[in-house]
Amino acid sequence: MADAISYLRPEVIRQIDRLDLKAKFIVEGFISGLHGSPYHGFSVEFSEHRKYEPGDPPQTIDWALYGRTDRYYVKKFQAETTMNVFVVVDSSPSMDFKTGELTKFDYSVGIAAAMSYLAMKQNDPVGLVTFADRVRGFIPPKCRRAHLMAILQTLAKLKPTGRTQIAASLHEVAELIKRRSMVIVFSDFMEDLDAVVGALHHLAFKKHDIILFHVMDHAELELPFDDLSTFSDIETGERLIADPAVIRKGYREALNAHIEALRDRSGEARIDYVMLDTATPYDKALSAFLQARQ
Amino acid sequence: MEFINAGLFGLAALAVVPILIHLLHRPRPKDQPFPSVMFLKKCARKSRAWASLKNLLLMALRAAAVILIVFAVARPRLAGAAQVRDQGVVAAIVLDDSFRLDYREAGLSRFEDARRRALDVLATLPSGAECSLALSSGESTPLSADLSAVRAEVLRAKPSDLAVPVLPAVVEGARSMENVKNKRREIHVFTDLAKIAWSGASADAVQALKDINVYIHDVGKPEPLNAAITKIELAPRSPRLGRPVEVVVTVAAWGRSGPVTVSLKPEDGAKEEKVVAVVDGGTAMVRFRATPEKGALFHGTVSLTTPDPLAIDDVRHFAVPVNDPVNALVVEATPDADRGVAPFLSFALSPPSLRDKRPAAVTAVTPLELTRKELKDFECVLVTCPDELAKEDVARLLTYVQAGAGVAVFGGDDMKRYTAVGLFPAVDGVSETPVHFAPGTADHPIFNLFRAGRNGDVSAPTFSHRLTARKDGRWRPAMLFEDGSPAALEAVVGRGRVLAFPFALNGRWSDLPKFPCFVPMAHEIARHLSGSVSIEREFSAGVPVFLALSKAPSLLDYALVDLRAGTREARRADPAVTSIHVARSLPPGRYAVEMGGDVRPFSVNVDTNGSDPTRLSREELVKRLPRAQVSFAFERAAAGDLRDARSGRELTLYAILATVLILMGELWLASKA
Repeated sequence: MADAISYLRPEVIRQIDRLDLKAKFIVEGFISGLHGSPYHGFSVEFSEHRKYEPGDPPQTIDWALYGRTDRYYVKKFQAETTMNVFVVVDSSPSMDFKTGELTKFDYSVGIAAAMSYLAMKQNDPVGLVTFADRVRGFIPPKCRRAHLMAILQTLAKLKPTGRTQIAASLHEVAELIKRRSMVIVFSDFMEDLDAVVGALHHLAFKKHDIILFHVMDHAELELPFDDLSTFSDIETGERLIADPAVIRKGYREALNAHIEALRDRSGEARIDYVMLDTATPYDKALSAFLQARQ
Repeated sequence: MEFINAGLFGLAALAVVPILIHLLHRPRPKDQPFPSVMFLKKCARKSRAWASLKNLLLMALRAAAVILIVFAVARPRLAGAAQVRDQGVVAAIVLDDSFRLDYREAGLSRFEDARRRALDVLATLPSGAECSLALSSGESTPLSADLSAVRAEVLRAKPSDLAVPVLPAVVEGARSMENVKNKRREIHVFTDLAKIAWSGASADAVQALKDINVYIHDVGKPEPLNAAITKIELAPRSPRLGRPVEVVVTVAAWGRSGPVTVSLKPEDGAKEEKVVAVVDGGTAMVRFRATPEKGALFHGTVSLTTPDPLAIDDVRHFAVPVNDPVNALVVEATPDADRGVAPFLSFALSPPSLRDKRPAAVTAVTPLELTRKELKDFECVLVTCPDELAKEDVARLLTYVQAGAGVAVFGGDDMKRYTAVGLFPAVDGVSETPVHFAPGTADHPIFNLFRAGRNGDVSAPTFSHRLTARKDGRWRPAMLFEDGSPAALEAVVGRGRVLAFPFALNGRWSDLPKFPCFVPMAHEIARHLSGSVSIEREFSAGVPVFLALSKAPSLLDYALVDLRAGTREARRADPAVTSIHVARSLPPGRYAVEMGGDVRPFSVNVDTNGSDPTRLSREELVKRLPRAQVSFAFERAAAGDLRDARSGRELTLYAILATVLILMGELWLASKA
């Protein structure tokens, strides 16, 4: 169990080149770690019995039937309902930053792929939206294996470009998604908070279930640099000379205020908020997804 | 402020080095692409201001550190330096070497401590300084630039047997540098601060200390303890062979009370011990009895056997002659057979046949010769020819008696001059009725020998001619004639006594000298008169010893005998004087001078006036040195303060400390965000 979970660490997943394999690896590793977990039987209901075979989880054995027939049968489940799942990925250049193994963008894509794979396994139609200054790609939700491959290929080819316009993009997404869906947003939310929250409210107004994955690099959270540095904004090219040691405390305070405000205001709009450090194992994100999916 | 190595100040230019290093190695900002610049911008302005200030401060601190290091190497110091470097120092080391400094505790004596401290002070003297050494006992060395020689002298110094004050030595030290101009003058006095050590110099003498820096190095103990034997008295002063002598010992104590054990050890007798209680600041007396059994001398030692930090005054010696012949001066007229005048008395006092058993050492002089004699060299004077003495000699006799001596005056034709000064009773006239002594009326020690008819018949001599003394309350009859008139009278004159005999010792007046009782009677008269005068037999260590002789030494050679060690030292006397001078360097002990058959014992002891360790307060001492600039260097660590006072306080250490502080500040600031 512990070994399986250890495969969900970004530095391990990074070694897999193909995104579909990467997604499968993440999901299989995640599910194998769910034994005894509260996610047992999530969002599915009983469909049929079949004969028990070695390797089946003992808890799926139907003991009442065993009492009547004196044979082991296991229960089979299927999803109770299906729900459209939209994976919305920020592909602005600010996501193309890393100090560890993965850029924020790579990390987001990995989780997005894994969630698509997991949703598809649950027969949920999965769609994909990518955006930067505007919505750059939109794949409507379907529930076919070929569709999953299309999503994964799109994600695999996606490169960060343009300039961030999160609020505008999310407004656009809100208009694009007609049916009530689960909207999973991966972004660093490097934009004016009021504008972003306004866009999120727009999405929430459309009755979507929204999960925000606030993806940040560890260096962004901690500002661990020691030397005097010329910080250049990845998107605007704006340069700023500062001694990290001097401004570290102030920077952290400002960033934390931004994060806390985003978390609080998301909560007010019944939007789930998850902070993800690119060093965080993938299961945290998947768990958050499954909780929301329940 | 000035600098010992001022030439090194050029190194201050090195201060530009850290500035250059700082500028050249100023950190170049590192390019850092970053997505969250929007948050950095909020606090970057403050960062830039602080970074500039920090850079400036670091640069300043590093430059200051270099300057301070140069400052320290240049050895800065405060005022005082100029005087010493440009003009120099003269110093006098004054060591109190009185025996009191032999006070010993935990194996270290006060003097040894003083010597160590003196060496410390010598070590602080700058090069080119001159120094002298003076001991309170009197020895001194002149100012010398050879400090190693002074050091050797200090190492050679030892406590003396003397108890002389240190103040005269201090004054002497000041005088030794009287002619020194434009130099710092210092006198370092190493003493136990005993009161007794700070007397003996006049106020005028103390003026010599004007403007001199006097450093008092106190090596004493705050509450010293001491007990000493301060006095030995023998009764009688000249013991007789086989007769008991009472030895009265006086013990004094300072700072201590309680029983002490005193022992008497005569040279030829058994040791005897007694315990006596002493009280702080008081004295106690112990009495021993001893009997001289043999020999011509009675000598020994009295000592305290109770442990005492100052041992030297716990021992006292005595040495007196046994059967000592009385040193008598007899004034006799020139023999005249027609008048029956002969040297009866001198012959009776010192019969040649008795040789060394003579009861008196007689110096016989004529009235003319008397003028040249020092009366104080004799224990008694016997005048047999009063008519012939000059008026001045009569006056000298009076002075002699008043000072405590004894005089016997035999009658003459004209006694008015004597009566006038109280040396003879008033006379009513001359009786020519023959008469005899009435022994039964004898009431005087000189007649004790003749009680019960022993030693000759006193009533046998006939007095055909005699003076009739008027009754006078001051004159007490010692014996009467048969007719009830006084045959001998005694009076106390001043501190002395006079025996008056109303007859002359010649054939016209009586036949007394022809009778056997005359010789013992003459001896008893001499002994009685000599009992009131004390021939000095005890001397203080360091004081010249003058021994009076019965006559001017005809033999120049004499021997000084150490009675304890049994050693003899041949010496030569000065023939021009009637006393011999023994060197003052004799240590405490028992001695005798032998000249011919004459043996004069004496003892030398420490002067216990110097045993009193009672201390002088600092305030009292400063009052006694009103013109001096007195400092008290009570601790050995004062050597550093002395250097500072002399050469100015060096600031090198402070500069180094400041440099370290600045470097620590630089490190702190460099690490500070």
